[in-house]
Amino acid sequence: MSTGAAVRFDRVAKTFGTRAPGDAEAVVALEDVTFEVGEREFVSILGPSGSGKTTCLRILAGLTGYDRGSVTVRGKPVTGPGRERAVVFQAFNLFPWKTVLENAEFGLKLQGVPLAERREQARTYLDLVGLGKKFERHYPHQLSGGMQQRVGIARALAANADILLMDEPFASIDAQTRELLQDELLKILDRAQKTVVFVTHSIDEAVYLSDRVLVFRPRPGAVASSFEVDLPKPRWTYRARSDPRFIRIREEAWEALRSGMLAVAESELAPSCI
Amino acid sequence: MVSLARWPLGTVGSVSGLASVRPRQRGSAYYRVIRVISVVVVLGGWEVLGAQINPVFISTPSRIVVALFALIRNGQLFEALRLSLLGIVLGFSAAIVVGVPLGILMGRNRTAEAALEPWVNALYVTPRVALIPLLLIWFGIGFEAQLVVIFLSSVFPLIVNSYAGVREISSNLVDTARSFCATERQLFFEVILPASVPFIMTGLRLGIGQAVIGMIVAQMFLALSGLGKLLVNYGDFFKTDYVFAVVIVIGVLGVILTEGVKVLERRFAHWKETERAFS
Repeated sequence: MSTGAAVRFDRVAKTFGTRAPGDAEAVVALEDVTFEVGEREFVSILGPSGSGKTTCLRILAGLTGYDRGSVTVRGKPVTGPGRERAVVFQAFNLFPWKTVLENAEFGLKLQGVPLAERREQARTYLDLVGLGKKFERHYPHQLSGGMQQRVGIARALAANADILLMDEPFASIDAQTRELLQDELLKILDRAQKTVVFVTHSIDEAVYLSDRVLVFRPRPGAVASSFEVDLPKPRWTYRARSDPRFIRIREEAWEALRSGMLAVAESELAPSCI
Repeated sequence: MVSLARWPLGTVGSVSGLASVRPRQRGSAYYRVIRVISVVVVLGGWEVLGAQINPVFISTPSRIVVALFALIRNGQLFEALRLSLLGIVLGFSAAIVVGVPLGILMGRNRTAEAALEPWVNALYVTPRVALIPLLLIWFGIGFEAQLVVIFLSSVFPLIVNSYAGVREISSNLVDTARSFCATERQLFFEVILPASVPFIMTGLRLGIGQAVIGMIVAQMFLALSGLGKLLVNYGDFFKTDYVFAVVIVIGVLGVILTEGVKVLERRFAHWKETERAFS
Protein backbone atom coordinates (compact mmCIF):
# COMPACT_ATOMS: atom_id res chain seq x y z
CA MET A 1 0.00 0.00 0.00
CA SER A 2 1.40 3.36 -0.95
CA THR A 3 1.50 5.88 1.84
CA GLY A 4 1.49 9.15 -0.09
CA ALA A 5 -2.14 8.92 -1.21
CA ALA A 6 -4.60 11.49 0.10
CA VAL A 7 -7.57 9.48 -1.13
CA ARG A 8 -7.75 5.79 -1.86
CA PHE A 9 -10.63 3.76 -3.30
CA ASP A 10 -10.05 0.01 -3.14
CA ARG A 11 -12.47 -2.28 -4.98
CA VAL A 12 -15.44 -0.16 -3.95
CA ALA A 13 -18.90 -1.38 -4.90
CA LYS A 14 -22.27 0.26 -4.41
CA THR A 15 -25.74 -0.92 -5.38
CA PHE A 16 -28.84 1.23 -5.08
CA GLY A 17 -32.41 0.21 -4.40
CA THR A 18 -31.95 -3.24 -3.00
CA ARG A 19 -32.43 -4.97 0.29
CA ALA A 20 -32.23 -8.53 -0.99
CA PRO A 21 -29.62 -10.02 -3.31
CA GLY A 22 -30.80 -10.57 -6.85
CA ASP A 23 -33.37 -7.76 -6.69
CA ALA A 24 -34.40 -6.86 -10.23
CA GLU A 25 -34.88 -3.20 -9.28
CA ALA A 26 -31.33 -2.90 -8.02
CA VAL A 27 -28.96 -0.60 -9.89
CA VAL A 28 -25.28 -1.34 -9.62
CA ALA A 29 -23.81 2.16 -9.41
CA LEU A 30 -20.20 1.22 -8.82
CA GLU A 31 -18.34 -2.03 -9.29
CA ASP A 32 -14.77 -2.63 -8.23
CA VAL A 33 -13.71 0.99 -8.35
CA THR A 34 -10.05 1.36 -7.48
CA PHE A 35 -7.97 4.52 -7.69
CA GLU A 36 -5.75 6.82 -5.69
CA VAL A 37 -5.41 10.56 -5.50
CA GLY A 38 -2.06 11.95 -4.38
CA GLU A 39 -1.54 14.91 -2.07
CA ARG A 40 -2.05 18.22 -3.94
CA GLU A 41 -3.09 16.32 -7.01
CA PHE A 42 -6.00 17.46 -9.18
CA VAL A 43 -7.86 14.39 -10.37
CA SER A 44 -10.97 14.50 -12.55
CA ILE A 45 -13.53 11.78 -12.74
CA LEU A 46 -14.81 11.93 -16.30
CA GLY A 47 -17.72 9.88 -17.47
CA PRO A 48 -21.16 9.89 -19.05
CA SER A 49 -24.41 9.88 -17.04
CA GLY A 50 -24.85 6.67 -15.10
CA SER A 51 -21.15 5.99 -14.70
CA GLY A 52 -21.40 6.51 -10.95
CA LYS A 53 -19.07 9.49 -10.84
CA THR A 54 -21.28 11.55 -8.56
CA THR A 55 -21.91 8.48 -6.39
CA CYS A 56 -18.16 8.12 -6.10
CA LEU A 57 -17.82 11.70 -4.93
CA ARG A 58 -20.70 11.40 -2.48
CA ILE A 59 -19.10 8.31 -1.00
CA LEU A 60 -15.87 10.21 -0.64
CA ALA A 61 -17.74 13.12 0.95
CA GLY A 62 -19.28 10.71 3.44
CA LEU A 63 -22.82 11.49 2.29
CA THR A 64 -23.48 8.04 0.81
CA GLY A 65 -22.40 4.66 2.10
CA TYR A 66 -20.86 1.84 0.07
CA ASP A 67 -21.41 -1.90 0.12
CA ARG A 68 -17.97 -3.40 -0.41
CA GLY A 69 -14.34 -2.41 -0.62
CA SER A 70 -12.69 0.39 1.28
CA VAL A 71 -12.48 4.17 0.98
CA THR A 72 -9.76 5.86 2.95
CA VAL A 73 -8.60 9.44 3.36
CA ARG A 74 -4.97 9.55 4.48
CA GLY A 75 -5.28 5.95 5.60
CA LYS A 76 -8.41 6.49 7.68
CA PRO A 77 -11.62 4.81 6.53
CA VAL A 78 -14.37 7.21 5.49
CA THR A 79 -17.36 6.77 7.77
CA GLY A 80 -18.97 10.17 7.25
CA PRO A 81 -18.14 13.76 6.37
CA GLY A 82 -14.89 15.14 7.71
CA ARG A 83 -13.35 18.56 8.22
CA GLU A 84 -10.46 17.77 5.92
CA ARG A 85 -12.96 17.46 3.05
CA ALA A 86 -15.26 20.16 1.64
CA VAL A 87 -17.78 19.79 -1.15
CA VAL A 88 -18.73 22.16 -3.97
CA PHE A 89 -22.10 21.09 -5.36
CA GLN A 90 -23.49 21.17 -8.87
CA ALA A 91 -26.68 22.95 -7.71
CA PHE A 92 -24.60 25.41 -5.60
CA ASN A 93 -26.73 24.52 -2.55
CA LEU A 94 -26.41 27.91 -0.96
CA PHE A 95 -28.76 28.59 1.94
CA PRO A 96 -31.34 31.02 0.54
CA TRP A 97 -31.99 32.69 3.90
CA LYS A 98 -28.33 33.46 4.46
CA THR A 99 -26.45 36.32 2.86
CA VAL A 100 -23.38 35.76 0.74
CA LEU A 101 -21.15 36.38 3.75
CA GLU A 102 -23.18 34.11 6.00
CA ASN A 103 -23.04 31.36 3.41
CA ALA A 104 -19.30 31.70 3.01
CA GLU A 105 -18.69 31.45 6.74
CA PHE A 106 -21.02 28.47 7.19
CA GLY A 107 -18.34 25.82 7.69
CA LEU A 108 -16.43 27.98 10.15
CA LYS A 109 -19.60 28.73 12.10
CA LEU A 110 -20.24 25.01 12.50
CA GLN A 111 -16.66 24.61 13.69
CA GLY A 112 -17.35 27.16 16.41
CA VAL A 113 -15.00 29.86 15.11
CA PRO A 114 -15.85 33.22 16.77
CA LEU A 115 -17.85 35.67 14.69
CA ALA A 116 -15.21 38.31 13.97
CA GLU A 117 -12.61 35.75 13.02
CA ARG A 118 -14.85 33.75 10.72
CA ARG A 119 -16.17 36.91 9.07
CA GLU A 120 -12.64 37.95 8.28
CA GLN A 121 -11.74 34.57 6.84
CA ALA A 122 -14.95 34.37 4.82
CA ARG A 123 -14.22 37.83 3.39
CA THR A 124 -10.73 36.75 2.42
CA TYR A 125 -12.07 33.84 0.42
CA LEU A 126 -14.94 35.81 -1.09
CA ASP A 127 -12.32 38.24 -2.25
CA LEU A 128 -10.24 35.38 -3.64
CA VAL A 129 -13.14 34.11 -5.75
CA GLY A 130 -13.77 37.62 -7.06
CA LEU A 131 -16.77 38.62 -4.95
CA GLY A 132 -15.99 41.96 -3.40
CA LYS A 133 -17.51 43.54 -0.33
CA LYS A 134 -20.44 45.00 -2.20
CA PHE A 135 -22.01 41.55 -2.66
CA GLU A 136 -21.57 40.22 0.86
CA ARG A 137 -25.02 41.31 2.02
CA HIS A 138 -26.80 40.01 -1.07
CA TYR A 139 -28.93 36.90 -0.93
CA PRO A 140 -28.13 33.99 -3.25
CA HIS A 141 -31.15 34.46 -5.53
CA GLN A 142 -29.95 37.99 -6.26
CA LEU A 143 -26.82 36.58 -7.90
CA SER A 144 -26.22 34.91 -11.25
CA GLY A 145 -25.38 31.21 -11.35
CA GLY A 146 -21.71 31.92 -11.84
CA MET A 147 -21.61 34.23 -8.85
CA GLN A 148 -23.54 31.76 -6.71
CA GLN A 149 -20.98 29.09 -7.47
CA ARG A 150 -18.20 31.51 -6.56
CA VAL A 151 -19.86 31.71 -3.14
CA GLY A 152 -20.05 27.90 -3.10
CA ILE A 153 -16.32 27.70 -3.77
CA ALA A 154 -15.55 30.37 -1.17
CA ARG A 155 -17.62 28.44 1.37
CA ALA A 156 -15.65 25.26 0.68
CA LEU A 157 -12.30 27.05 0.77
CA ALA A 158 -13.13 28.97 3.94
CA ALA A 159 -13.89 25.74 5.80
CA ASN A 160 -10.14 25.09 5.74
CA ALA A 161 -10.43 21.63 4.26
CA ASP A 162 -7.42 20.63 2.19
CA ILE A 163 -9.33 18.16 0.05
CA LEU A 164 -11.85 19.79 -2.26
CA LEU A 165 -14.59 17.61 -3.69
CA MET A 166 -16.23 19.24 -6.68
CA ASP A 167 -19.34 17.68 -8.19
CA GLU A 168 -19.83 19.09 -11.69
CA PRO A 169 -19.55 22.57 -10.19
CA PHE A 170 -19.72 24.40 -13.51
CA ALA A 171 -22.21 22.16 -15.32
CA SER A 172 -25.15 24.54 -14.97
CA ILE A 173 -23.19 27.70 -15.78
CA ASP A 174 -23.05 29.24 -19.25
CA ALA A 175 -20.09 28.29 -21.41
CA GLN A 176 -18.23 31.63 -21.31
CA THR A 177 -18.54 32.05 -17.55
CA ARG A 178 -17.53 28.41 -17.16
CA GLU A 179 -14.18 28.99 -18.89
CA LEU A 180 -13.56 32.07 -16.75
CA LEU A 181 -14.34 30.11 -13.60
CA GLN A 182 -12.05 27.27 -14.68
CA ASP A 183 -9.17 29.73 -15.02
CA GLU A 184 -9.98 31.28 -11.68
CA LEU A 185 -10.16 27.88 -10.03
CA LEU A 186 -6.67 27.09 -11.29
CA LYS A 187 -5.38 30.43 -10.03
CA ILE A 188 -6.98 29.90 -6.63
CA LEU A 189 -5.54 26.41 -6.35
CA ASP A 190 -2.15 27.72 -7.34
CA ARG A 191 -2.24 29.83 -4.19
CA ALA A 192 -4.30 27.63 -1.88
CA GLN A 193 -2.64 24.25 -2.53
CA LYS A 194 -5.45 21.72 -2.28
CA THR A 195 -6.06 18.15 -3.28
CA VAL A 196 -8.99 18.15 -5.67
CA VAL A 197 -11.36 15.45 -6.87
CA PHE A 198 -13.40 16.96 -9.67
CA VAL A 199 -16.38 15.24 -11.25
CA THR A 200 -17.35 16.31 -14.74
CA HIS A 201 -18.83 15.04 -17.99
CA SER A 202 -16.90 17.59 -20.01
CA ILE A 203 -13.74 16.27 -21.61
CA ASP A 204 -12.33 19.77 -22.15
CA GLU A 205 -12.90 20.69 -18.55
CA ALA A 206 -11.28 17.51 -17.26
CA VAL A 207 -8.23 17.87 -19.47
CA TYR A 208 -7.80 21.58 -18.90
CA LEU A 209 -7.98 21.41 -15.11
CA SER A 210 -6.47 18.08 -14.14
CA ASP A 211 -3.15 16.50 -13.42
CA ARG A 212 -4.78 13.16 -14.05
CA VAL A 213 -8.11 12.06 -15.51
CA LEU A 214 -9.98 8.91 -14.52
CA VAL A 215 -12.35 7.83 -17.28
CA PHE A 216 -15.42 6.04 -15.94
CA ARG A 217 -17.65 3.75 -17.95
CA PRO A 218 -21.37 3.36 -17.23
CA ARG A 219 -23.64 0.54 -16.05
CA PRO A 220 -22.07 -0.50 -13.82
CA GLY A 221 -19.84 2.46 -13.05
CA ALA A 222 -16.18 1.56 -13.03
CA VAL A 223 -12.82 3.04 -13.90
CA ALA A 224 -12.23 2.34 -17.60
CA SER A 225 -8.85 4.01 -17.88
CA SER A 226 -6.68 6.69 -16.41
CA PHE A 227 -4.19 9.07 -17.99
CA GLU A 228 -1.87 11.88 -16.99
CA VAL A 229 -2.31 15.35 -18.43
CA ASP A 230 1.22 16.53 -19.15
CA LEU A 231 0.30 20.05 -20.20
CA PRO A 232 2.66 22.65 -18.75
CA LYS A 233 1.36 24.74 -15.84
CA PRO A 234 0.18 27.36 -15.16
CA ARG A 235 -2.26 26.76 -17.96
CA TRP A 236 -4.05 30.11 -17.90
CA THR A 237 -0.87 31.86 -19.01
CA TYR A 238 -0.94 30.44 -22.51
CA ARG A 239 -3.73 29.30 -24.78
CA ALA A 240 -3.73 25.79 -23.38
CA ARG A 241 -7.13 24.95 -24.82
CA SER A 242 -5.84 25.29 -28.37
CA ASP A 243 -2.40 23.80 -27.69
CA PRO A 244 -1.68 20.75 -29.91
CA ARG A 245 -0.92 18.65 -26.83
CA PHE A 246 -4.31 19.60 -25.34
CA ILE A 247 -6.02 18.51 -28.52
CA ARG A 248 -4.15 15.21 -28.58
CA ILE A 249 -5.01 14.40 -24.97
CA ARG A 250 -8.57 15.43 -25.62
CA GLU A 251 -8.76 12.93 -28.49
CA GLU A 252 -7.34 10.17 -26.32
CA ALA A 253 -9.85 10.94 -23.59
CA TRP A 254 -12.69 10.90 -26.06
CA GLU A 255 -11.52 7.52 -27.41
CA ALA A 256 -11.41 6.07 -23.90
CA LEU A 257 -14.83 7.47 -23.10
CA ARG A 258 -16.32 6.28 -26.37
CA SER A 259 -15.08 2.72 -26.15
CA GLY A 260 -16.52 2.43 -22.64
CA MET A 261 -19.87 3.77 -23.78
CA LEU A 262 -19.97 1.66 -26.94
CA ALA A 263 -19.28 -1.53 -24.99
CA VAL A 264 -22.29 -0.74 -22.81
CA ALA A 265 -24.48 0.23 -25.76
CA GLU A 266 -23.76 -3.11 -27.44
CA SER A 267 -24.44 -5.16 -24.34
CA GLU A 268 -27.69 -3.28 -23.80
CA LEU A 269 -28.83 -3.62 -27.36
CA ALA A 270 -27.93 -7.28 -27.75
CA PRO A 271 -30.92 -8.94 -26.00
CA SER A 272 -33.56 -6.85 -27.76
CA CYS A 273 -32.05 -7.63 -31.17
CA ILE A 274 -32.37 -11.37 -30.86
CA MET B 1 -31.49 43.53 -10.36
CA VAL B 2 -34.70 44.14 -8.45
CA SER B 3 -34.25 46.56 -5.59
CA LEU B 4 -34.87 45.45 -2.03
CA ALA B 5 -37.64 48.01 -1.73
CA ARG B 6 -39.87 45.70 -3.74
CA TRP B 7 -39.99 43.06 -1.04
CA PRO B 8 -43.25 44.14 0.57
CA LEU B 9 -45.13 43.40 -2.66
CA GLY B 10 -47.36 40.37 -2.37
CA THR B 11 -47.20 37.88 0.44
CA VAL B 12 -45.90 34.38 0.82
CA GLY B 13 -48.42 31.91 -0.51
CA SER B 14 -51.29 34.39 -0.72
CA VAL B 15 -53.70 34.96 -3.55
CA SER B 16 -52.70 38.60 -3.81
CA GLY B 17 -49.48 37.50 -5.51
CA LEU B 18 -51.58 36.52 -8.51
CA ALA B 19 -52.51 40.11 -9.23
CA SER B 20 -49.10 40.85 -10.69
CA VAL B 21 -49.59 38.12 -13.29
CA ARG B 22 -52.57 39.89 -14.85
CA PRO B 23 -51.81 42.29 -17.63
CA ARG B 24 -51.81 45.90 -16.41
CA GLN B 25 -54.01 47.90 -18.70
CA ARG B 26 -54.50 51.21 -16.91
CA GLY B 27 -52.69 53.40 -14.46
CA SER B 28 -53.14 52.64 -10.77
CA ALA B 29 -55.05 55.95 -10.28
CA TYR B 30 -57.87 54.53 -12.40
CA TYR B 31 -58.30 51.51 -10.14
CA ARG B 32 -58.13 53.69 -7.05
CA VAL B 33 -61.02 55.79 -8.38
CA ILE B 34 -63.05 52.62 -9.12
CA ARG B 35 -62.44 51.46 -5.55
CA VAL B 36 -63.67 54.76 -4.08
CA ILE B 37 -66.72 54.89 -6.38
CA SER B 38 -67.64 51.32 -5.38
CA VAL B 39 -67.53 52.16 -1.67
CA VAL B 40 -69.42 55.43 -2.08
CA VAL B 41 -72.14 53.88 -4.27
CA VAL B 42 -72.75 50.91 -1.99
CA LEU B 43 -72.75 52.94 1.24
CA GLY B 44 -74.81 55.72 -0.34
CA GLY B 45 -77.35 53.25 -1.73
CA TRP B 46 -77.52 51.53 1.62
CA GLU B 47 -78.13 54.86 3.39
CA VAL B 48 -80.95 55.82 1.01
CA LEU B 49 -82.54 52.37 0.88
CA GLY B 50 -82.14 51.69 4.60
CA ALA B 51 -83.90 54.93 5.54
CA GLN B 52 -87.01 53.80 3.63
CA ILE B 53 -87.46 50.46 5.38
CA ASN B 54 -87.69 49.29 8.97
CA PRO B 55 -84.33 50.00 10.64
CA VAL B 56 -84.46 46.56 12.26
CA PHE B 57 -83.66 44.94 8.91
CA ILE B 58 -80.57 46.61 7.54
CA SER B 59 -80.21 49.87 9.47
CA THR B 60 -78.11 52.55 7.74
CA PRO B 61 -74.41 53.40 7.67
CA SER B 62 -74.98 56.65 9.58
CA ARG B 63 -76.86 54.86 12.37
CA ILE B 64 -74.10 52.28 12.55
CA VAL B 65 -71.50 54.99 13.00
CA VAL B 66 -73.59 56.55 15.77
CA ALA B 67 -73.92 53.12 17.44
CA LEU B 68 -70.17 52.59 17.16
CA PHE B 69 -69.46 55.87 18.96
CA ALA B 70 -72.07 55.04 21.60
CA LEU B 71 -70.28 51.72 22.23
CA ILE B 72 -66.97 53.49 22.53
CA ARG B 73 -68.36 56.11 24.90
CA ASN B 74 -70.14 53.75 27.29
CA GLY B 75 -67.00 51.61 27.63
CA GLN B 76 -68.68 48.40 26.48
CA LEU B 77 -66.53 48.13 23.39
CA PHE B 78 -63.28 48.67 25.26
CA GLU B 79 -64.16 46.03 27.86
CA ALA B 80 -65.25 43.55 25.18
CA LEU B 81 -62.06 44.15 23.16
CA ARG B 82 -59.91 43.73 26.23
CA LEU B 83 -61.46 40.35 27.04
CA SER B 84 -61.33 39.23 23.42
CA LEU B 85 -57.71 40.21 22.89
CA LEU B 86 -56.72 38.53 26.14
CA GLY B 87 -58.42 35.36 24.91
CA ILE B 88 -56.67 35.55 21.53
CA VAL B 89 -53.26 36.25 23.01
CA LEU B 90 -53.47 33.38 25.51
CA GLY B 91 -55.17 30.86 23.21
CA PHE B 92 -53.06 31.63 20.16
CA SER B 93 -49.81 31.67 22.14
CA ALA B 94 -50.64 28.23 23.48
CA ALA B 95 -51.39 27.10 19.93
CA ILE B 96 -47.98 28.33 18.75
CA VAL B 97 -46.15 26.74 21.66
CA VAL B 98 -47.84 23.39 21.02
CA GLY B 99 -48.47 23.46 17.27
CA VAL B 100 -45.10 24.50 15.86
CA PRO B 101 -42.97 21.97 17.81
CA LEU B 102 -45.53 19.24 17.15
CA GLY B 103 -45.49 19.96 13.41
CA ILE B 104 -41.69 19.98 13.34
CA LEU B 105 -41.59 16.73 15.32
CA MET B 106 -43.95 15.12 12.80
CA GLY B 107 -41.75 16.29 9.95
CA ARG B 108 -38.54 15.01 11.52
CA ASN B 109 -39.64 11.78 13.15
CA ARG B 110 -41.33 9.01 11.17
CA THR B 111 -42.76 7.38 14.29
CA ALA B 112 -44.31 10.62 15.51
CA GLU B 113 -45.61 11.23 12.00
CA ALA B 114 -47.28 7.83 11.81
CA ALA B 115 -48.77 8.20 15.28
CA LEU B 116 -50.08 11.76 14.91
CA GLU B 117 -50.94 12.20 11.24
CA PRO B 118 -54.35 10.45 11.28
CA TRP B 119 -55.50 12.56 14.23
CA VAL B 120 -54.16 15.80 12.88
CA ASN B 121 -55.70 15.21 9.47
CA ALA B 122 -59.06 14.20 10.90
CA LEU B 123 -59.25 17.17 13.27
CA TYR B 124 -57.88 19.59 10.67
CA VAL B 125 -60.85 18.97 8.38
CA THR B 126 -63.44 18.82 11.19
CA PRO B 127 -64.99 22.22 11.84
CA ARG B 128 -63.95 22.89 15.44
CA VAL B 129 -67.32 24.57 15.99
CA ALA B 130 -68.79 21.06 15.91
CA LEU B 131 -66.87 20.31 19.10
CA ILE B 132 -68.55 23.09 21.07
CA PRO B 133 -71.21 20.89 22.72
CA LEU B 134 -68.45 18.56 23.90
CA LEU B 135 -66.29 21.40 25.15
CA LEU B 136 -69.31 22.70 27.02
CA ILE B 137 -69.52 19.38 28.82
CA TRP B 138 -65.80 19.18 29.51
CA PHE B 139 -64.88 22.74 30.32
CA GLY B 140 -68.12 24.47 31.24
CA ILE B 141 -68.86 28.00 30.08
CA GLY B 142 -66.03 30.04 31.55
CA PHE B 143 -63.08 31.88 30.07
CA GLU B 144 -61.09 28.61 30.03
CA ALA B 145 -63.55 26.98 27.65
CA GLN B 146 -63.17 30.00 25.40
CA LEU B 147 -59.38 29.57 25.42
CA VAL B 148 -59.75 25.91 24.49
CA VAL B 149 -61.85 26.84 21.45
CA ILE B 150 -59.35 29.50 20.33
CA PHE B 151 -56.52 27.04 20.84
CA LEU B 152 -58.23 24.25 18.91
CA SER B 153 -59.20 26.62 16.11
CA SER B 154 -55.69 27.86 15.49
CA VAL B 155 -53.45 24.94 16.43
CA PHE B 156 -54.13 22.80 13.37
CA PRO B 157 -53.06 25.27 10.68
CA LEU B 158 -49.88 25.72 12.74
CA ILE B 159 -49.21 21.98 13.02
CA VAL B 160 -49.98 21.25 9.39
CA ASN B 161 -47.86 24.11 8.02
CA SER B 162 -44.87 23.52 10.30
CA TYR B 163 -45.01 19.86 9.34
CA ALA B 164 -45.13 20.73 5.64
CA GLY B 165 -42.25 23.16 6.13
CA VAL B 166 -39.98 20.48 7.50
CA ARG B 167 -41.08 17.94 4.90
CA GLU B 168 -40.40 20.35 2.04
CA ILE B 169 -36.77 20.99 2.95
CA SER B 170 -34.53 20.12 0.06
CA SER B 171 -32.29 17.14 0.76
CA ASN B 172 -29.56 19.10 -1.04
CA LEU B 173 -29.40 21.62 1.79
CA VAL B 174 -29.38 18.88 4.40
CA ASP B 175 -26.53 17.16 2.53
CA THR B 176 -24.66 20.44 2.36
CA ALA B 177 -24.89 20.97 6.10
CA ARG B 178 -23.82 17.37 6.70
CA SER B 179 -20.87 17.74 4.36
CA PHE B 180 -19.67 20.58 6.59
CA CYS B 181 -19.90 18.21 9.56
CA ALA B 182 -23.08 19.65 11.09
CA THR B 183 -24.16 17.95 14.30
CA GLU B 184 -27.84 17.05 14.62
CA ARG B 185 -28.33 20.16 16.71
CA GLN B 186 -26.59 22.40 14.17
CA LEU B 187 -28.53 20.79 11.36
CA PHE B 188 -31.74 21.67 13.17
CA PHE B 189 -30.93 25.25 14.06
CA GLU B 190 -28.95 26.16 10.93
CA VAL B 191 -31.08 24.43 8.30
CA ILE B 192 -34.31 22.72 9.36
CA LEU B 193 -35.68 25.59 11.44
CA PRO B 194 -34.78 28.53 9.17
CA ALA B 195 -35.95 26.63 6.09
CA SER B 196 -39.34 26.02 7.72
CA VAL B 197 -39.86 29.62 8.83
CA PRO B 198 -41.84 30.70 5.74
CA PHE B 199 -44.21 27.78 6.24
CA ILE B 200 -44.53 28.47 9.95
CA MET B 201 -45.36 32.08 9.09
CA THR B 202 -48.09 30.89 6.71
CA GLY B 203 -49.37 28.76 9.59
CA LEU B 204 -49.43 31.83 11.82
CA ARG B 205 -51.32 33.85 9.25
CA LEU B 206 -53.95 31.16 8.70
CA GLY B 207 -54.02 30.36 12.42
CA ILE B 208 -54.71 33.91 13.58
CA GLY B 209 -57.73 34.12 11.27
CA GLN B 210 -59.04 30.86 12.69
CA ALA B 211 -58.37 32.12 16.21
CA VAL B 212 -60.61 35.15 15.66
CA ILE B 213 -63.40 32.94 14.30
CA GLY B 214 -62.97 30.54 17.22
CA MET B 215 -63.04 33.40 19.70
CA ILE B 216 -66.29 34.91 18.41
CA VAL B 217 -67.99 31.51 18.20
CA ALA B 218 -66.88 30.64 21.73
CA GLN B 219 -68.03 33.99 23.07
CA MET B 220 -71.41 33.61 21.42
CA PHE B 221 -72.13 30.01 22.32
CA LEU B 222 -70.02 29.21 25.36
CA ALA B 223 -68.91 32.06 27.49
CA LEU B 224 -71.16 34.98 26.61
CA SER B 225 -68.42 37.54 27.00
CA GLY B 226 -66.44 39.96 24.93
CA LEU B 227 -67.42 40.90 21.38
CA GLY B 228 -69.48 37.73 20.90
CA LYS B 229 -71.63 38.64 23.86
CA LEU B 230 -72.28 42.13 22.42
CA LEU B 231 -73.39 40.51 19.15
CA VAL B 232 -75.79 38.15 20.91
CA ASN B 233 -77.20 40.77 23.25
CA TYR B 234 -77.84 43.43 20.63
CA GLY B 235 -79.12 40.81 18.21
CA ASP B 236 -81.67 39.62 20.79
CA PHE B 237 -83.00 43.19 21.08
CA PHE B 238 -83.04 43.70 17.29
CA LYS B 239 -80.54 46.56 17.59
CA THR B 240 -79.27 46.04 14.06
CA ASP B 241 -77.07 49.15 14.03
CA TYR B 242 -75.19 47.96 17.14
CA VAL B 243 -74.76 44.46 15.69
CA PHE B 244 -73.27 45.96 12.53
CA ALA B 245 -70.98 48.18 14.60
CA VAL B 246 -69.63 45.15 16.47
CA VAL B 247 -69.24 43.19 13.22
CA ILE B 248 -67.17 46.05 11.84
CA VAL B 249 -64.97 46.05 14.93
CA ILE B 250 -64.43 42.29 14.60
CA GLY B 251 -63.53 42.71 10.94
CA VAL B 252 -61.05 45.46 11.73
CA LEU B 253 -59.57 43.36 14.54
CA GLY B 254 -59.11 40.44 12.14
CA VAL B 255 -57.43 42.64 9.55
CA ILE B 256 -55.08 44.22 12.12
CA LEU B 257 -54.03 40.84 13.52
CA THR B 258 -53.49 39.33 10.05
CA GLU B 259 -51.50 42.36 8.90
CA GLY B 260 -49.41 42.10 12.06
CA VAL B 261 -48.50 38.54 11.13
CA LYS B 262 -47.74 39.64 7.57
CA VAL B 263 -45.24 42.13 8.95
CA LEU B 264 -43.55 39.25 10.78
CA GLU B 265 -43.68 37.22 7.59
CA ARG B 266 -41.91 39.91 5.62
CA ARG B 267 -39.36 40.32 8.35
CA PHE B 268 -38.47 36.63 8.71
CA ALA B 269 -39.40 35.01 5.41
CA HIS B 270 -38.40 37.67 2.90
CA TRP B 271 -35.92 35.36 1.19
CA LYS B 272 -38.73 33.01 0.17
CA GLU B 273 -40.68 35.90 -1.27
CA THR B 274 -37.82 37.26 -3.32
CA GLU B 275 -36.91 33.78 -4.43
CA ARG B 276 -40.40 33.53 -5.84
CA ALA B 277 -40.25 36.95 -7.42
CA PHE B 278 -37.11 35.96 -9.30
CA SER B 279 -38.04 32.47 -10.44
